[in-house]
Amino acid sequence: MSERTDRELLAAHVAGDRDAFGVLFTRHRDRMWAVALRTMGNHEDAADGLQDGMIAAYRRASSYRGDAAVTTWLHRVVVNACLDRLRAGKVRRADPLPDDLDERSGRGSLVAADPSGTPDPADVAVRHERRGVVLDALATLPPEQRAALVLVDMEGYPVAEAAVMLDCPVGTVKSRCSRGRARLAELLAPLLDAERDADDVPARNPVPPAPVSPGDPPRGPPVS
Amino acid sequence: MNDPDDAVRRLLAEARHAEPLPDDVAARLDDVLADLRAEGPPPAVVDLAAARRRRTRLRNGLVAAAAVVLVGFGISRVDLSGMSTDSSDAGGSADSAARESAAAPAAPSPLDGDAQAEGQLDGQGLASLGPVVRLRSDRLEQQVQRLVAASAAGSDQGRSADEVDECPAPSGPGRSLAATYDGAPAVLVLRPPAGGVRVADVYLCGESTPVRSVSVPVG
Repeated sequence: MSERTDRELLAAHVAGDRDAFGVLFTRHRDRMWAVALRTMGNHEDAADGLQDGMIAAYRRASSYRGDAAVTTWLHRVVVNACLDRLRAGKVRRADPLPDDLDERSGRGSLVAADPSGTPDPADVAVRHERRGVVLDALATLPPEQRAALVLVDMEGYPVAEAAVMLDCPVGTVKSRCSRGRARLAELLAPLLDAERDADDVPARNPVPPAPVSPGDPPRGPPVS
Repeated sequence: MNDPDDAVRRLLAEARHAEPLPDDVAARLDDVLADLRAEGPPPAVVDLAAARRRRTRLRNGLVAAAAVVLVGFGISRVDLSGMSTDSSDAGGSADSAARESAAAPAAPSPLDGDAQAEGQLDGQGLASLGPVVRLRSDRLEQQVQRLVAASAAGSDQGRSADEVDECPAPSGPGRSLAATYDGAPAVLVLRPPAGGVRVADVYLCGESTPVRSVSVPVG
C-alpha cells in the first residue's frame, strides 16, 4: 500500500483519524527539530518550542488552507512557536551547543570521515570549534534575523518559502538575511580572515619526480 | 576574491544541524501527542466570516452601550449647570457604572495586574459579568504559568467561561476562563495536566480553533 501524502494525512487528522497527525509529524520532525534547535540556541528551549508548535499544529490543523505545502505550514507553526518563546523572553541562556559532535558522534552524519572511515581528530576539533564560534555569533542576532538565516542559509529553503514560514514578505526575509549576514561577517571576521589567508597561500609546485638513476655507466667520448 | 556574504553563508551551512530528533525529545513529544489524541479530534473549521460578523455585532452593541453611558454622563453635567431635566436616572446609571468599575474586584492576582476586572467599558463586552483574565500575546506564557501555579495552590482566578453567553467555551476537557487576548474577547482553556506539562489554549470568541497554545510545566 502506498504511503499517504502529507495532505492526505492532515485531512485524515481533521476528519478524526487518531493516528494521522503522529505519522505526519514524525515524518518531518527531524528537520523541524533542526530549525527549532538553531533558532532557539539550546536543546531545552528547542524542545519546548517544538512541543508548542506540535500542539498548535494539532489543534489548528483545520486552519490549513492548502495554499502552501503541508511541510511549509508545519514549519511556519513551529517557527512561530519558537519566535513567540524568544519574544516572550522565555528562554534559557543559550550556551554553545554540545549537541552535535559530542552527543551523536556515534551516528556520524556530521563528521566527515576520510575514505578509510576514520575522521582526522584534528579536522574534527577544528570543525567543532568553528561551529561553536558560528553558533555563538548566530545567537547574538535578533530572533527574526536568526530564524531567517536558519531557514535560508542553513536549511536551504528558497526565500519565498521562508517568507511563508515566517509570515512576512519576501523582501523582508531578504533584508533580514542581508542584515544578519552583515552582522555575522563582523562577528566572524577573525574566522573569515583566517580562511581567506588559508585560501591565499599559493599552491606549492608539484614535487618533481625523483631523478632517474641511470642503469648504465655514463658513456664516454666516442672511441676514435 | 571571496565574497564575505558567501563566506558567511558557507559557514552557516556547515553549522547546520543534521542529526535526528534526540530520543528524550522524541519520547516527550510522543507523550504529549498521546494526551492530545486522548482529547479527541481537533476542532472543526468554523465559518470565520460568521465569527467576524458576530464579533462586529458584539462590538457595535458595546459601542452603543458606551454611547448611552456617555450621553447619560453628559446630561447629568447639564443638570449640574442648573438646567432642569429629568436626567437623574441617567446620571445615576452612569454613577452606578462608575462605582461598579471602581468596585470591580481588584484583589491581588497571580497575574500581577494582568488578570483583573474589566471595569472600564473598554469594548470587550465582559464588563458587567465580573473579572476576566486579561492576556497579552507577548506575556502569555508567564501569565499562564502564574495562573497554573495559582490554580495548583487552590487560588482560582477568573470567571468560568460558561457564564459568558456571547463567548461559549470550546469543547474538550479542561477549565475554561473568560478572558481577553490583546484586548479581544476570548476564552482561556487550561487543559488537564499530562506528562508534567499543562497546555493552555486561547480561543477568540466565536472561533473553535485556538489562536494560540502554550504549554507550561506543572509541579
